[in-house]
Amino acid sequence: MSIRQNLRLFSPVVVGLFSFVPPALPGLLNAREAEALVALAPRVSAAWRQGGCPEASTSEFGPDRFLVQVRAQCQGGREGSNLVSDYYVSRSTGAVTEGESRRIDTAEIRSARVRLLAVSRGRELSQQDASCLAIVAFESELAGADRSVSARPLTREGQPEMEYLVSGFAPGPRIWVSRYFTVDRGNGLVRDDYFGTVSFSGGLGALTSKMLDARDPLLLSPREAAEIALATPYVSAKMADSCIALVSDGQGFAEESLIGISSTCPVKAGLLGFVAVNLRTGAVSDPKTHESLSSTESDRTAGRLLDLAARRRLQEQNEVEAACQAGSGESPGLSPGR
Amino acid sequence: VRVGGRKCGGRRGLNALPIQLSSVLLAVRGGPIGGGGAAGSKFPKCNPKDKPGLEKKLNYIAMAYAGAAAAASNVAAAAGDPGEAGTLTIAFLDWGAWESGWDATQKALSENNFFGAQAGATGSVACPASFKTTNACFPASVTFGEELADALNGVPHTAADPNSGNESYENLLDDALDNSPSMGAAGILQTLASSGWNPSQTYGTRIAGPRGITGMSKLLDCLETNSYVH
Repeated sequence: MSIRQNLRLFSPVVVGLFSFVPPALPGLLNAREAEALVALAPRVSAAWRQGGCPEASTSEFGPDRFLVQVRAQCQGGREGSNLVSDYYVSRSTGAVTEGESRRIDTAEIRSARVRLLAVSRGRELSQQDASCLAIVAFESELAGADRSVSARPLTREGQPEMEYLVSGFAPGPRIWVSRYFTVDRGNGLVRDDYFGTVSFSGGLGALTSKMLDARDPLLLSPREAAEIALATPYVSAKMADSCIALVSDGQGFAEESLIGISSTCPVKAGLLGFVAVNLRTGAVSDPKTHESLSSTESDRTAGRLLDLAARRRLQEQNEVEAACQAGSGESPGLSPGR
Repeated sequence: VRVGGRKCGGRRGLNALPIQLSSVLLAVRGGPIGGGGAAGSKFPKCNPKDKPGLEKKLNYIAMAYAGAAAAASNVAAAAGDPGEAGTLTIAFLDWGAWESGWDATQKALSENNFFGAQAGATGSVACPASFKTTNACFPASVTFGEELADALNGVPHTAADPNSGNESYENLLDDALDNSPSMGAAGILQTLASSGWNPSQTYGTRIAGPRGITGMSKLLDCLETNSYVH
């Protein structure tokens, strides 16, 4: 399940997270990818090896950079800071610096950078998806247009923004309605160029979300990660104490989430420890020792949840296909523009 | 004196993303999709192009400067070297910028924690149960200067140095400045780290060394010259 879906399920987290999870843009790394690069920095690798439970906190810092702060969550016994270091990651080149100017460039980082930049470049919406969004925006705003709606691209193929002239017959005697829309292939936003404002509608939003989700890796949500952790004997034994609760916010490092084991009783309130859950596989481990905590039951739970997520993804893809076929059924306008 | 507002950092949305428009046909141009709404820099003479990263830095300095300068004056006076106040001010500003990500990261904002103090720090309150953090959480009313004073008044105890005399960070810093008055901002911050704030042997250099935060003095000069801070 993707980050976007996580946000929808975990509404209390949405406000906090939305400010720092920018849209996936073509050619620009997203926050998880930037963290994957920082995880390879020698100081962070050392913290991981030493059982410091490094956790990334990533914020947008300007249009093309992330600031990734890394803290050693298991570095106890100290009143002062557990900050491992500050890193900046260029979203367009994948360059990593410690602070703003100390370049970190290892063979591992170089290799990961090439791979992750290729992934980010493959994330943009296709021309067909973009024209579909323009048509759905048109149909949402100009209700009543019939199924002859078509979108003619006015931009050359491969541009990050695609402009369309969308046209259709309105019901009634020979009324031809048309409007210009621009689609950002990175974040799926559609601008109604008549007003110069972003188009919003329930149908358009749901369709955009499904299209973008399909380009994200299939990851477990924070709630699902916690459910898997609960299925391990290690966590379930701790949960026998009624004071104990799990805190799962999806944060950790790249695709590994640190789940907090927290006491909510006043006598011993606070974080007591962590377990790590791999959001791609559901494997559970001790972030201090890196020993597996998975069990037959937790593996079964992970398999079930990942299977459900895959089915949801497939269903969404089918819904996107259906919506786009319906919306552009008679479209003659998919030929290249100027 | 609180200069600037912590909560008015001018956070921008998903605008300012470099997006190319190629067609010239249309009647209305809205700029980048989802853009607009930015009111411009609060510090136009220091950030004429309204760069979002620079704006975050300027917001931070404007918010933190008075508290940093006040603490620096106290430490410099106690060390018997008022001339060190300027270096101490920069060191304290660098420190908070590094630890809080220029007061622009979600963690710093949600915890109101400028220096990475751990749970139980003076002036802190219990973090909400939903926070997965070992950091301290401070009420939103606590200022940068108050947190800095609390951090400096703290008494470190580490495995390597139990500090049986219960010397505060400030006293330890005063002693270090007595012995080495020109240690610079990196030396000041390494003194705090080595006293117990952070286990890294390169903490001070990474923050305030030649390849650390290098623009603080220049930005502060601009803010002062143009009366954005006093």
